[in-house]
Amino acid sequence: MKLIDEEGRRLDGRRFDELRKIKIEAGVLHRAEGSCYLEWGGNKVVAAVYGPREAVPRHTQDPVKAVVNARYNMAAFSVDDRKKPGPDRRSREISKVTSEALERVIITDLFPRASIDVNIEILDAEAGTRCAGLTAAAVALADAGIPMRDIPVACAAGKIGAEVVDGEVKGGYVVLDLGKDEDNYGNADLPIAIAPRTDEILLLQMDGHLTYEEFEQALDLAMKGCHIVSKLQREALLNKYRPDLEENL
Amino acid sequence: MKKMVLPGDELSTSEELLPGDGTYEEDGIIRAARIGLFHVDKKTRTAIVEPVTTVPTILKKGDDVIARVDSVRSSMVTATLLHVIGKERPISGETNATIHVSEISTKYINDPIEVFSLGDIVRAKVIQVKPSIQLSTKGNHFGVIKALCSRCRYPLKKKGSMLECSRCGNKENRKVADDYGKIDITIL
Repeated sequence: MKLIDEEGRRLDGRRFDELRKIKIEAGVLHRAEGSCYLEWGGNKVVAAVYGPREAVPRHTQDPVKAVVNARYNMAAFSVDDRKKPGPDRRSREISKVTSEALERVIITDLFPRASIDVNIEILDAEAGTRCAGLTAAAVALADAGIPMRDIPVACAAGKIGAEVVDGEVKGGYVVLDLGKDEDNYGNADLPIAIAPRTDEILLLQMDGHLTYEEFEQALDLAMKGCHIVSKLQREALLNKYRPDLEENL
Repeated sequence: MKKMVLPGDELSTSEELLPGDGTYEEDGIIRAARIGLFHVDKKTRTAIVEPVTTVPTILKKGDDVIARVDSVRSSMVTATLLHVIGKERPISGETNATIHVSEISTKYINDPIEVFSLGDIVRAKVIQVKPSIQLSTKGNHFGVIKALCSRCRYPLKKKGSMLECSRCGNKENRKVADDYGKIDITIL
């Protein structure tokens, strides 16, 4: 399968450094303390935040700070073949790395013995759901008024279009934000999450192989992508609360 | 003029202002910790971010709370905090509280079992948060707001100075709040 042509156009017509279409809306759920709906290409994600509230069972409490519990869950209908509901190895891993990424920016020492629960529901999946989920969770946390040092954001870069000739990998392009086919038939995927103000890396995973130079290139590209998405997050939050603001003035 | 800020936005420096509500300090710079309107309290020279979202409930001394009695001992009553009156969001953190026998009423109480029973819902004032949460039910407005009969678990009705069970006729004594039986527990 040819994922990228000679002119650098990808399957869906994007350039190497273009993101898919992203739509973010803050505060969509009634009963959650904070929430966010996000569409990223074909991904559809809802994130909801509950707490800080007393952590149960009590042995999970930390007497000096709050614990962040993110729960990434894919809906049964989110993929082509029905996904068996419930946590599996993949979603447990994503829940863990997302929790740890969010914990780095939340000012947890204000809420000893509490838990902050973040539910990330993937309604529709099309590659890059962990980035979409984390990005949505960040907006939901801000919407819940939870003190944070920054609004974290995630984005992926990867490598597509390499050929294997006599056991040697030839060619290939480093591109931003892999689509479904690019993810499945591409060569590498590098999702990262950052705190955009400081460029601190909160999450970095890699699937596939990249040379050292390609890795640096992909990391740079993903950072750039993160900064673009970060602007969209801020817009979404301002859009939600600017009307409130005008009422107050 | 008040400016809309988002978490991480630079507000001021620590030479100029003190970090107040909704802000944090990092490397000598005061930044916003939540979405809201930035303004300066001129009197205390404090940077404040007035929230536009709801904010987590942090228990403070002087808050009025609703609690459920978990156990009654000879010198104190332990209770679980359910809700802070006037707040929508759940209590963040510790919810185990105690009411010392001396803080139950302005009158002399020999043993708390005379005025509280397991499962009672009480309105109380927070008189200490750290190192442990202490409540007081002194005052007319504080005390039991809902109680069940200890014999048959039927809701007790106020009758004179006592509470009476309308099913089994059992009479019990409580330190009741002035509006016992007049409030809808479900809307709290």
